[in-house]
Amino acid sequence: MLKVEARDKAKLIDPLYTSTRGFWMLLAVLLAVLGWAVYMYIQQLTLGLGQTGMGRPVYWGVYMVNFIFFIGISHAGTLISAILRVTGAEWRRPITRVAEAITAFALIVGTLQIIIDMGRPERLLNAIIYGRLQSPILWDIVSVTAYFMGSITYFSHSTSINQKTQKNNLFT
Amino acid sequence: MTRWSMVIDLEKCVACQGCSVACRMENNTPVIEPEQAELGRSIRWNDVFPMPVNPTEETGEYPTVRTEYMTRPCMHCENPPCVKVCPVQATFKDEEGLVRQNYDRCIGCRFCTVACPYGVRYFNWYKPEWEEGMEQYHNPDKIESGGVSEGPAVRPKGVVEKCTYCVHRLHKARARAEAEERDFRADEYVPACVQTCTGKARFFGDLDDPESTVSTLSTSSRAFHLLEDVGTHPKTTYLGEG
Repeated sequence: MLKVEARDKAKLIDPLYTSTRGFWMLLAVLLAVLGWAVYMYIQQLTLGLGQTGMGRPVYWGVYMVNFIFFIGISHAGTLISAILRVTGAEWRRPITRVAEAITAFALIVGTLQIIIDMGRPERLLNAIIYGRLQSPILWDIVSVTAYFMGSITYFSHSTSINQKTQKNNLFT
Repeated sequence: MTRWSMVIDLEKCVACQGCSVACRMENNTPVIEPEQAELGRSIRWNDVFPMPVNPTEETGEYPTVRTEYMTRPCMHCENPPCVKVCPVQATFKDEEGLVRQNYDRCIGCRFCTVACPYGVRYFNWYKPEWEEGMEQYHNPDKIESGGVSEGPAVRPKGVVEKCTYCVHRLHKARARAEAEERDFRADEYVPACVQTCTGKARFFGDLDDPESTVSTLSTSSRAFHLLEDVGTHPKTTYLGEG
């Protein structure tokens, strides 16, 4: 367990156990947005990709833009974390953790965009069974998988317990 | 080795759109509502365009006005960009140069649709639908076996489809020749659009046979290909007007 001084407890620990009214309202709004998104995705799955408003010549729309956007966000996380580690800035630690978390989670969101964009997402494994390495989509799969493995390894190291010092890497 | 090829003589084309209709009937292409067509979701394996495509441009002044049309099936490129970008090898060039599409393997990523410079690949944005009762008039021909579904087989939603030069007709002609225990001749196989062409403007045959009609016509001084500079080496050849 973490040891926190009494004067810090009110600021750091107490908010984890109590929630204000504003928090619940924000949560409700965000859940409504999420529910709307889930409803729309179910519509798209059952009726077809026509629900997205794409057509000819707009074969790829916001989904692909989002994919690139989130890959970019993910790279930003890596960059910030790398620069702060290389320069050895001592105040860096909380920022580095946040950046590493962003790297891993933005990548998951980005990859989901491609799966959402597919006409037959249930055939995703065909890309591995019958994959054609010449296709840029397979490059995406290879590079994003490697990048994701690297980033979660890094992230899990940052948030695990250091065996030597018995302290959480998060605070060392 | 055979290399199937088509020659379209624009001088003889009367723009009746018979090829388009024959293709629809032969390949069970779904019909869609006008609102959907406005979004560019209509599926025409064989399209007929007025030239220039933009109708606001005028060609000549009255009374010397000209109208030109161009019909466009798949180019069946020697170097097809759609095949290279497909992540699951659902689209492939077979040993006779036909660029085919396996609906059972397609994951619907639409990369081929983006890659094709001719825009001949069509995505099924919704489940294909026909007017009441039309289903019983579907062409029953199809190429189907485990994990393979091609040709006029009714497409599920979310896959890409394209002109195959009526590859099921080739399979049928081969099977017939085999059943009658004789050699298959190249002139036994023609796509539906070639068979129906009112002005007899379309020719079909083996490009590797120097005696064939398509070989002779493609050496004509009028012969040209669409977007020759992009390096796709189309096998559909046009004969220009005049």
